[in-house]
Amino acid sequence: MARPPGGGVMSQARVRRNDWGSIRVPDVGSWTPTKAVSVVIPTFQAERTLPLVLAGLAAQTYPAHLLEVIVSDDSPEPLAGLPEVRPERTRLVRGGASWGRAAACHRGALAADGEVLHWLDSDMLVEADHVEAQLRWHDALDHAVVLGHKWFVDPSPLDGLSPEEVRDAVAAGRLEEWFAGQDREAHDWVEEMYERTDDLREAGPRAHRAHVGATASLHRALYLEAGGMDLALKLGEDSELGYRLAECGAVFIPDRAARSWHLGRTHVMRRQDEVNDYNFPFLADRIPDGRVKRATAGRQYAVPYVEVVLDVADLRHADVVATVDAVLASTVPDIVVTLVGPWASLTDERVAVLDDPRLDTRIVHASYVSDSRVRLVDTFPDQREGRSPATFRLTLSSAGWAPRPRALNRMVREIEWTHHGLRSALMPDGSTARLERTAAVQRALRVRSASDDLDDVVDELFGSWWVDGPETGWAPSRSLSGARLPGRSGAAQDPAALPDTEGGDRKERAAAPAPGAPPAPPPPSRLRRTLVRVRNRLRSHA
Amino acid sequence: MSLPRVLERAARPTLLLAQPGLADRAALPEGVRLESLGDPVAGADEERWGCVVVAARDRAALRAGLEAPPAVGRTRALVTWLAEATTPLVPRVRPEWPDPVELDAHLTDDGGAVTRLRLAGVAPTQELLARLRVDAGSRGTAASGGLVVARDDDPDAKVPADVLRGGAPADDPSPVTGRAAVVVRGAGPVAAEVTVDEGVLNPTGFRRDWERLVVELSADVLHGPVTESTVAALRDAQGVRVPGSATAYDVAALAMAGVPLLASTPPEGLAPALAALLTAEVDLSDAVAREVHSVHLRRAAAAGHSLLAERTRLGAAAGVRVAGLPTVSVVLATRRRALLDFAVTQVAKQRGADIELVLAPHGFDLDAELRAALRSRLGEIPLVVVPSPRSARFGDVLHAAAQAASGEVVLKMDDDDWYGPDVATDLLWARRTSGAELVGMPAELVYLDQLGITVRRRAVVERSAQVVAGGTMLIGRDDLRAVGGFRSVVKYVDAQLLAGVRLAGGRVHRTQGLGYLLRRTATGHTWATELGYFLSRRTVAAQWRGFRPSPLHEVGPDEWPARPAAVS
Repeated sequence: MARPPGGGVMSQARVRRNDWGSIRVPDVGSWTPTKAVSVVIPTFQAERTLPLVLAGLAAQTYPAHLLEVIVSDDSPEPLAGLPEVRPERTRLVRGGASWGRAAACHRGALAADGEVLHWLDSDMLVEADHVEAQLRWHDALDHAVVLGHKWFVDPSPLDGLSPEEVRDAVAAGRLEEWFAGQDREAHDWVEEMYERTDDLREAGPRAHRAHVGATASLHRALYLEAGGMDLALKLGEDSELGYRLAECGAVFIPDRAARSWHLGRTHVMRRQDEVNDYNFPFLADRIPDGRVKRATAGRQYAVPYVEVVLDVADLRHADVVATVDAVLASTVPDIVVTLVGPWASLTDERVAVLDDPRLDTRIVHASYVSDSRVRLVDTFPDQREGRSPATFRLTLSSAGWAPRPRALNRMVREIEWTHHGLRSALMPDGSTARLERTAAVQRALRVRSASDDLDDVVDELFGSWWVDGPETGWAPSRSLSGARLPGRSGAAQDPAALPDTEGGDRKERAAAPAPGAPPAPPPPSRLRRTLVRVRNRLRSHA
Repeated sequence: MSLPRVLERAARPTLLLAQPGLADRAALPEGVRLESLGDPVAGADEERWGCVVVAARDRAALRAGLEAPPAVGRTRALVTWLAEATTPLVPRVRPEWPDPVELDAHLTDDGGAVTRLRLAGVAPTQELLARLRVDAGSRGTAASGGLVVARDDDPDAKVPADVLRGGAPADDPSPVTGRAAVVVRGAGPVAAEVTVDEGVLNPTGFRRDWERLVVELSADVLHGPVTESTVAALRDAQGVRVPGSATAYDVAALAMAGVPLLASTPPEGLAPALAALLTAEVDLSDAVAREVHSVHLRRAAAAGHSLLAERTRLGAAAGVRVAGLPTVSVVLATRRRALLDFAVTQVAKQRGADIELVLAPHGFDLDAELRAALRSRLGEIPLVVVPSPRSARFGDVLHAAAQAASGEVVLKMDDDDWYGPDVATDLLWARRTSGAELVGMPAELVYLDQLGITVRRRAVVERSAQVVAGGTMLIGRDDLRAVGGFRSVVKYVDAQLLAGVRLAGGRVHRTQGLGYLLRRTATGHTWATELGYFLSRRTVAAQWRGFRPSPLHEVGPDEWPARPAAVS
């Protein structure tokens, strides 16, 4: 899907990395909202708190005609109906293909009419300007993900209050007084990250890790472009969505002016270790930039870290195989290779096998058709048509130069350390290896104007750098080819006399004594060596 | 070693020429006569001294005090005592003096320096002192440029001075000079301005990295007026904040040395351009911005407060012709007619230097129309065209151009690099303050044509070096002639000249290079290998996408490079 520049926002601000401090938004109360917002509330047995949440929403400063509320119920026992005190346009939706919070959120998002989606958990009591505060950012940017601020509190001060009283208290700004004197807890690891990164301004490409959906908002188009919630996830769905939103170029903006009160502690905070243990494999499978969750042992995951792209047209098969093998031998295990070639032309039509003009294509095809890490595609993948499946895409302009085992890791490590969006290696033959950050290219595509060079924009948004290929660990691909497994042929050996080496590979076999051979003589003593030296010298003078 | 100890050991009779405040007249040992350094000394021209001791706070004060050395008889020994020094002074011995029998020069434990020179017989003290003054500064500041300065009116002088630093002006014009000397200081008509000795206080030693952030110019740092020791102690700071109590001399001295300065209230008595720079907004944490600020400060200090500026000012007041910066012949060889316009533009931009262009088209000639067009682009700058046939070796092409040069110094410029308008002047100042035979800039900023990026390479600046960028080499015509001119070779002409100068005992000094931007348009099948060198992490300090001249370049719109064709 080709996208017009700018999305739904006329003149897009350009945020460098995640430094949202460069965007100026109006103060709350001093601007005229224009965007319709759908507040999506996923509910599960929320009879006790939902009336309070809706009461809070009924007191919003955001214009009522631009605000709708969708209660997306996931309870096994359906919600009897909507509470009395609620915003005028409030709907209840149910049913769907799956269950869980992710499914409820997704159902609500699909049912929503607003240009902006605003997630709100069913235990979140918001201040009157909460929605307005968040919506300010979506006028400036079509790829903002705004994170509301929340305090975890004991809800007992609300006991016995009617929803009308809560609504009026929100409208009058009296919540603060009610919870005064209580222990307020902030969301501890999120607050720690804010603290460390100047409210995510310095978090760079890792800002998505703070994505928590209890109160957050984003353009509905961005949500759909990212692919929506992953319904297979019953926990951790916000973290995973955050990664994909980042891949689409999103900027994550914590807004401390969007205040809210979380009624009670979350289950994550109560059973943190169990939740983490459960989430580990799900998130490891889907979020490649959480490197510490991934095994070094050559395992494959749903979402690769690096995609390597090579157009094999007009290249010799030996070069291609040498290069692709070198890539697959990289110390970065979670890698996929995309080979672009005229694969569709390889029909079963009768040909003179060795004189076939498509001989190179056939050999490359046969080499990789069975490798699950290699995709064979017919057209060059363009990020404008769809983002790379991986965090980084490495495009090789030729098969003349290939990475030594550590070279890819080095390039990726350095682009991660620098937060850059593009890192290019120049080879001595003039070819290049171009490593681009999917998130950076996607954001550049969003904000560029028609006359902009895409790489200029990537550089402006994230930074770019050229390196010398050989210095970065690249070598002529032919010099890296040929590593194959050791042979196992030969006459049958006596099973009782096999060398005690693991696998019996060539090198180890050579080191082991041949069966039945006499023990090697001990090394000559020092005295003996001196004697030999003296004798030789005397002879040479004779 | 303390001054009293030096005096104790000095042979008698001893003449002590000391800056006020350094010696206590009441505590002088027997047989020592004290005179104030810089003041006229009367009635001592018939003396034979066992030893003359010169005591000053630092080299700059020593040189100022010996501007007009007094006639004080003859001496066997000369001892120099400096309270602050970074290196001991080593005076040379003129061949007409008796042979030297002892020369001892060393730094003292307390940060000063002592030099003892003893001769086999006596030599004229005035000559020894004059020689000492020359050796205490850079070669470029040795000569007076034609301005004769005296301390006081000498009624016996046959040829009066042009400038008197004290005393009263003569009533009538002198019959010899046809004019009356002007008097500075006191009641004279010419105001004494703050003057800093650029032969002592200059950017040599400037560091582009720092170990400390901005420091205050406080009493911890400063024990009196700024000296070269003060500067050396401040080189590791990102910048120096000048308090309101600082003197104009201190500020001018630090600026002349290129110390990045900030101030909220600049002292009175500074050149307006320098005062304005002190309060400018500068991001000193940006290494390039910091160095650019330093360069602006040096230029403003040189224009307003240097010995050369003072000489120019006093010469004008006295009606005397004085020497300024040397005249420059730019030697520019090119094989590429298409680059002529660009290259000549780089020359035409130069300001502040008296230059001519010797253009050496290699393998083609310029018709009258083209010459006229180039002349009009050059304005006041004279054009000499020295064509060479294509078969000529590049070294011979340059040599032919240098032979046709009429300037006192030759500056080799390349045909496709970008030059800021002050490159020639900056090089002339670097030559003056460093005293090196050949000065140049590092190829620090490089634009890589194929990739469309600008890289900044790690480069050591403001010090003696083996290599400078070939397109920035500035050398005296005599020195160039002495090494045989540009060598008759096809390639490596620049390296051969640098090697030749060093082999002949000459010095190569590398000044800052932010006004010079090398264009790398590699051609042939090895272009990518060559570019890889400029991308190497061993040399790259920064990299920018696109063409990124520094603020010193002042690149015109028609000088921008075309966007690169994408690499394969």
